Amino acid sequence: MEHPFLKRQQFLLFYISGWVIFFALITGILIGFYQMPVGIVASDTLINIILFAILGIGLWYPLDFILHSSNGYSSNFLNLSGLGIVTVGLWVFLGRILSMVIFAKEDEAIAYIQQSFPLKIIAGVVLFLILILIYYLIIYLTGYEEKRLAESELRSLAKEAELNLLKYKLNPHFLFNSLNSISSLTLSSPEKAHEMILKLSDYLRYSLKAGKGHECSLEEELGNVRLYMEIEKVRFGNRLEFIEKTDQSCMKQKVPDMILQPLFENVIKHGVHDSTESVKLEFRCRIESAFLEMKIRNNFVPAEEERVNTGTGLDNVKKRLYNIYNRADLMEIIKKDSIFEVRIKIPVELKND
Amino acid sequence: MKEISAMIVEDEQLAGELLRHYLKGFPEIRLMGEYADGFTGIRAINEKKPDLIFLDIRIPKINGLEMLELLDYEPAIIFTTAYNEYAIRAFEMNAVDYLLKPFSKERFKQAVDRASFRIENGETKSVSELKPAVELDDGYLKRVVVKERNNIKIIPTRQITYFESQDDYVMIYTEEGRFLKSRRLKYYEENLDPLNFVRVHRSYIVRIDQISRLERYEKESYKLFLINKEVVPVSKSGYKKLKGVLRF
Repeated sequence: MEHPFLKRQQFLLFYISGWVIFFALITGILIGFYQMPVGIVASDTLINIILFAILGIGLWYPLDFILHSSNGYSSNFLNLSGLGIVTVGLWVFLGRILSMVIFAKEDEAIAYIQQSFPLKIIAGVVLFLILILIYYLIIYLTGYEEKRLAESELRSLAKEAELNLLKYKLNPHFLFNSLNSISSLTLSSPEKAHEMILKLSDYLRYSLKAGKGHECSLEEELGNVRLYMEIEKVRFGNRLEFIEKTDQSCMKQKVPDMILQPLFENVIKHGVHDSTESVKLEFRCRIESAFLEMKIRNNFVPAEEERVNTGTGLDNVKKRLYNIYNRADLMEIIKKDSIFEVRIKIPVELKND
Repeated sequence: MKEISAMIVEDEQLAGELLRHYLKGFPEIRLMGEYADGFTGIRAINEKKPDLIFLDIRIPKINGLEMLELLDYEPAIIFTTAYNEYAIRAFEMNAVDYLLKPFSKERFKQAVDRASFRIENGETKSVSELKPAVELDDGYLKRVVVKERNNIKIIPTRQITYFESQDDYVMIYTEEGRFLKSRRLKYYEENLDPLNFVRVHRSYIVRIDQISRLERYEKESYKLFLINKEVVPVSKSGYKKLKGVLRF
């Protein structure tokens, strides 16, 4: 941490003013107490106070070190006591030498210095304790402030993420295009419109509750994907073909919710939307050496490659897998000839029963 | 009332059906055809020249905004799309109207009335006045669509070596030859990714990874040698920009 008094001129000024006030007070008291010439008492006090002020600034660094390498209260107490003894000792020693040099030929002054020696030790200890207390207070207050700022920043970030998630889940383009299809169906075949509204509702309900880091069974997640594909099939008709091959043993496995849907959405967005050819989308899932292995593959026209870029949807899935399982190798994108394939692996939960 | 010829470019069948249903209420509009992608759409439009086009933006091959760049004449355009972020751009391009899906019959009528008015008063603007249309996905141009005799060609910007300004046109040089486009060089300067392209001269924009070496020609004037051995002049300000991007 930065030195609290040196980081701004203003703070240093506070520090110095504190000492000036202290100097005025203590000199007044000492003059009354010792009945000594004003000059001698004032000069000696001034020398010692300047000395302590300088030592006091330096005191911050060992203190900061002690607090950062903190090993509990008792160790802190020992370290601080040591620091106190060294500081006060150094101060008394240096102060005495300086005063002796300056007042070398004045017996009266030397007598005063000798006389006030025990008082100086007491003063040194008291000053040390006060200074440590002030530093502690500063550390506590600034730490508190920093924590408060960090917390409020975290809160606003979380809110933003939540909003983005909501928007992502609602996927306005998909929603409005589907509503437009429904609008058309209400005129031509109300039965189908009715069906599509029900599918869209189920899909939205699932999407809204998902994505908060919950797990669900592959069966549930695939159920939602099927709804999504059925809705898209109404929009795209023969341009979209969906083939699904899932081993029955996979169905009860747990997967993060909404982990598959973005992969299908990516195919629709970049494969189906930009192509006049029919797109065949294949989904396969099996369990292979403690992993749920899933493949989503589709054909695309290589000439359209400029548009088949890996979208943010795929990036998000990769990031989520990394965040959940702490592994970067769970997703793979393969683009070969006219086949686009995404492979994801999810660790299978080992059951003891 | 004068008959208005119209075409629909829409890739979703149900959306097209809805348009046709709405159009039943307008006997003066004669539908000449419906197309599901940008390629067949632009070809039919330039051939049959309808007065009015209902145009979806997100369609296969080339998108609705790119199609506008390839028009041979000045039809009235009504955009129909669910993507409202392109509305401003569409109006800059002087579209008659912009319908957000799903839209009502009333809203549709309003758009068609507006189009009829413009067609009867001959108020559609010429294509050369149209404002820039950028590739949809993000800020920078990823490809350029050009006409090559009767064909339409999509050139990914990574295949472009350099651009040369020729008055109101730009000559685009690629590995496969050169193509003329009715645009100003400034448009490309503003819409190409500055990490890939640099304007080195009043009349030239060069793809950075095509640069082979830079030679001093006269005092304060340089020449750029490209990998394919072609030479491009560099102006004083172009030299400064090169210095910035190549960090020498």
